[in-house]
Amino acid sequence: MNANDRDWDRRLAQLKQLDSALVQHYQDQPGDTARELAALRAASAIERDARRARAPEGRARSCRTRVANCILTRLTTPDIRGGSRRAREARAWKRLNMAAHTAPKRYARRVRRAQVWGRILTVGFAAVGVLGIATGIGFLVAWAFSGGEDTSAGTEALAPLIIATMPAVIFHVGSVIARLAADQERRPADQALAAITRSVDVLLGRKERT
Amino acid sequence: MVRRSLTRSMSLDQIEALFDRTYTECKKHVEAVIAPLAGPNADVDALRQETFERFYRMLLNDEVKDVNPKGLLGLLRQIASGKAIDAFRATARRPVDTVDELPDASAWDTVAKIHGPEVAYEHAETLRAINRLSPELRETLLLREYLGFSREVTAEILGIKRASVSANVRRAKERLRKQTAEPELPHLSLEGGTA
Repeated sequence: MNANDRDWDRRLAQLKQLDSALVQHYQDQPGDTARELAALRAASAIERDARRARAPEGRARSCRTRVANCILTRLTTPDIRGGSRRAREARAWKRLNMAAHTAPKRYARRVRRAQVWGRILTVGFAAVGVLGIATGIGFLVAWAFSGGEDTSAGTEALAPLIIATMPAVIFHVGSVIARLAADQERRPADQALAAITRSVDVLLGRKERT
Repeated sequence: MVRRSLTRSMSLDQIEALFDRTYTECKKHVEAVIAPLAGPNADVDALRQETFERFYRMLLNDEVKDVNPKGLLGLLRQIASGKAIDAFRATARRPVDTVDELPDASAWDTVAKIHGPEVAYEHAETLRAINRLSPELRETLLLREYLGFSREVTAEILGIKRASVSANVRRAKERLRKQTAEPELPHLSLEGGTA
């Protein structure tokens, strides 16, 4: 190519030729259309299932995209990637396995973290509760030993009891709300992941479609 | 959802049949759109899949008005170019060298077979030079010159004004000319020669 050939208007006008040649190129490498369509259907089904299971939008999309891309890479013949066919297959399997295993592990880690925090809070509230109850009982015993004459001790005994029961009540209500929230959080994610795993299994022929 | 399915102009079987037919016929065209636009680091398979997923959702939601093959191909080219541009912008943010021609190097064999090796080399050089432009200029130039979209469609895909499209194309061409301008040869004087 000499300097005179660098005529950009001509070059850009000719660029449309590239489109027809690329169409021809991809026509010569048709791949496995039936399997690609199956992967597309699976991807749509995964997305639908995840939405139906009310999984948060971003999470559903990232799960679906990652797994569906891996399915597609696994199912189609990735002729355009570098390396031998065997190396490409190995890479595709690795990606698929990573996607199938890391997502549930990540959710498990989140749930575990929540459980640890829950336990710390439980122990804290329980300690406060026990301390309060012990103080209340101490005042009650003092009141009983005074023969019930010391009315001020009786009134003083009720206040710590109320104070002692308050943390316990707060703890109980809090734990119920936390458990409900955790269930709400976990259930859609579990359902979405189950749907994804099912689709992957069906596509890879590990399980029959039921 | 119920209302949408009741008012849908096609049944689910019809939609699936249309989708299968369109996929088989238009797959290669979609890939040919994605390959130069998305840059050398793109995953053409994944982008093609995303394009058809979007198309499938549009069919289900009854958003596709023109169901003749030409209209569908036009729609798919638009969706694919949008997806490819998003992918290019995402990879352009990462510190990788995007100055290359196509994600599929073997495509040049076909180009060379069809148009001859010199033209294939020239196209590769052209694309490499286009990839050196800034994302805005590159995308506008490829949409207008490679895909042949109108100013309106290009502006719609890129989310810019129509006037900016023309300005970007003009600027891109100027940059390309400047990039490849040959330095002038030093003037040789022939003083002292014999008459």
